[in-house]
Amino acid sequence: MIFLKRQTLSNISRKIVSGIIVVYQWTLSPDHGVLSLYTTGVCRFSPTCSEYTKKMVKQHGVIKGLKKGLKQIKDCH
Amino acid sequence: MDILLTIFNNLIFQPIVNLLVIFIDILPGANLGVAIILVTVLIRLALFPLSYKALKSQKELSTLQPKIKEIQKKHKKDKEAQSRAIMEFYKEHKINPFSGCVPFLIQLPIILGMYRVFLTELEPGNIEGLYSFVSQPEYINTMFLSINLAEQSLILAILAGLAQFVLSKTTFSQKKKIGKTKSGSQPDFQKIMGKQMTYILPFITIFIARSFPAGLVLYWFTTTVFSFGQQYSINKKFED
Repeated sequence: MIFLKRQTLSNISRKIVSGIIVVYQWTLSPDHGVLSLYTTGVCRFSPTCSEYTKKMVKQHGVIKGLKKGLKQIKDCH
Repeated sequence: MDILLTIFNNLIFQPIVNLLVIFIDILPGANLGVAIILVTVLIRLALFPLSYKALKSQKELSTLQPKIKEIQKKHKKDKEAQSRAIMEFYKEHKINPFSGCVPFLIQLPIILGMYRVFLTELEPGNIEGLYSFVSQPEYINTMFLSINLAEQSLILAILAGLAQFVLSKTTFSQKKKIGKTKSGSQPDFQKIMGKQMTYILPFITIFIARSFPAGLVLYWFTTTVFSFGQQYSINKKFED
């Protein structure tokens, strides 16, 4: 059994989640990836919701960061 | 994962297959090409209100852009206070709030569904999952303007690439007009890849489309032309 320090575990999970967000940005996002060539900008925030969420996850951890990101997405719907 | 697949099949894939077969049944000569174009246009028209709302509020936003920049400057240090101030500004100016990324993103599974449908080979008399009121076609004519839609077609692939190029070109000049190309937070993809992506992607499209059945490529071409028309009509309407 391998024991990981809490700190390392948190770091790994932050990296995984922000990695998923990057994959989203390059594929489905209307503002960042391939599709951005065909839109005139969809997200009204700057930084965009995905960019903001990514930053918050890196800064505050997965749960707090995702909460902050979701709040911003909710603000515009 | 299984549940997601079932939902996708029942809610998106099957309805599109049935719609396509209905058109094949109705159309004289059971022409697959015309049916594909009609299904594509019909579905895109149904999705039109979603894109229309988004495009409309983008237009409104672009006219208010200078004021938003001012607010951003004012709250430069506190990002949260900045977003709050911007939201209040939107409320003040009564910009329709239902126009963020969700209307855009919910279109994607439907577009993916069309892609899946036009990729499947329809065998006359042997099509699965038809509703009780849809009759099994005895014959499907896959010839369209002397292109066999069941086989690959280089001409159609080039047309699809060309349409895509025109679409991204007009989008780019549109962005320039509303000043979105320079702002720091906008498309990082374009920042990295630069303008040349507008030229490279159509070629990638041609290479990929060339190896797919022409029926799928015909869908790709139609949907791109539709996007172009949609953008053009909205631009016209909101130009003062």
